Amino acid sequence: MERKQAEFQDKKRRKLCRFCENKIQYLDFKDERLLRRFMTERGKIVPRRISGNCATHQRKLTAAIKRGRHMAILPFASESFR
Amino acid sequence: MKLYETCFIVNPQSDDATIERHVKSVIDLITSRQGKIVYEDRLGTRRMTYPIEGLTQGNYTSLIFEGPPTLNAELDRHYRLEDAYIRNITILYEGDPEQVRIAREALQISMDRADQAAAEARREARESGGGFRGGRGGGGGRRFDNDDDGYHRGGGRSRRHD
Ligand SMILES: [Zn+2]
Repeated sequence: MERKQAEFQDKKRRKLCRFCENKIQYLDFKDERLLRRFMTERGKIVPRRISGNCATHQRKLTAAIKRGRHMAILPFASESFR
Repeated sequence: MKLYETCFIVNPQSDDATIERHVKSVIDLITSRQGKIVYEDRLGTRRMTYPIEGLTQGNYTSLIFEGPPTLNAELDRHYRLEDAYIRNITILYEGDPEQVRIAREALQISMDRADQAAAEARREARESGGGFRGGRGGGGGRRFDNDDDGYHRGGGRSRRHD
């Protein structure tokens, strides 16, 4: 039982940044489908400790999401339902 | 010269010719200042995630262009002088248009696959699980954790494909 839990945690820890994996350097603020994957249902940006993004890509991601919000492509936080 | 992207929303409550005129005037402004349009993307009329000036929809256009840095201020003024532009943004475009397209397609494909796998697993679970498990849609998707690796954070919800 204990062993299984340790394995599970280990699996979670070696998550790789998906943008590094796919060699994506530029994030388009118009790419609603992609950006929404890194937002919660309420429109908050998913922290990188959960998404597994590296610092560089998380920074680019937040910039893109904020631009998307400005252009009403993405919601601001606190959207109670869709 | 550097690459910039300017994206703007035109009030959709006017005829196509008027919208076209507003889009064209931006293109003309860029080209008249030694700018060169690299990529023109007419996203068309789409729903906005929140109302702007009482409107729920907007007509989106994005232009990637090469031009002098002074153009930024001129674009800004252009947008401000005309009420039809309800929102705009001009940014430095730091991607290679061609490379971005290819890399994004690759990510899109891998994410689509994850979505598909999750949906399939859910359907399978529903079909084989019978009545007593019917309600637990998410349960089936778990099995695919290995290859989709967390993509289904909101991933199963792919109905927004417009
Ligand atoms: Zn990264």
